[in-house]
Amino acid sequence: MQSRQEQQLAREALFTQLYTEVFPTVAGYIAKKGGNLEQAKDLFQEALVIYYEQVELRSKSLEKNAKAYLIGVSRNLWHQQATHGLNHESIDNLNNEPDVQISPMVSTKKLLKTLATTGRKCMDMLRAFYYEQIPLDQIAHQFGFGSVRSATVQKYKCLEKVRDEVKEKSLTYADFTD
Amino acid sequence: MRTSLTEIQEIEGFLLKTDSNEDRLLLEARTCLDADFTEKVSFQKEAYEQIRSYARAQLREEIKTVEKRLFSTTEQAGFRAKILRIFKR
Repeated sequence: MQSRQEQQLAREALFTQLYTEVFPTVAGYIAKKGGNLEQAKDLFQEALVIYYEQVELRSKSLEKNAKAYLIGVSRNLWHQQATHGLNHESIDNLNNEPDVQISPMVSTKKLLKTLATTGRKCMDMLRAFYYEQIPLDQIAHQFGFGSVRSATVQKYKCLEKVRDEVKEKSLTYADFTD
Repeated sequence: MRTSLTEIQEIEGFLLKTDSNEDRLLLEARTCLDADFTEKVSFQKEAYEQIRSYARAQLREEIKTVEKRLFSTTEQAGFRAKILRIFKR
């Protein structure tokens, strides 16, 4: 059972490998299209996020095709950037749960800042469960809970906290704009 | 588990489609009749979205750390030079 630190190191090793193996090709493509280094870095960062979510988190086996996948995603992002501009919201609109369609009600940046400062442990736990899809028994161990039951209760308490924050900010925002 | 947390658990089953058909029908009916409950469902949807945004922001930070190392440490000077040559053409 990996600790959180070991998981982070494994991710860093993966990103380092993908960066060194694939970024030169992507950079060559972006340069040929008239882009600069910063644009290539930003674009590749988003491509890695997509790769991580679509391949690593879903345990898809690409192995030899990881490079082709990342190059393909990068090219698509470049074309998207050429027509609509590239920003984090572009991929934030890619929803992994097709039936949970959401229109952001509040400023994501402001809310993230609040959440990150007021409840980091909660957010990290929620990230582990909902995003990284780590089983609760492992989360219980990583976050120092005595049992899966305790971790489950805490998970819902944290989710409630985020929901309350969303509600509060949403109401504040409505008051502000009305 | 206290009542509000049990309700959150039920809404989660509904939103993430891990509940039974029977529970789903009950919650669907409740959303038609109870405006407060519908609001809770809506805010919980948004909460999942915020968690994903937070996770992505954390992931981007990790990628930036890797990128910074590749473009600043002496061990990676060869890689850095290779990339810079591409943009000098």
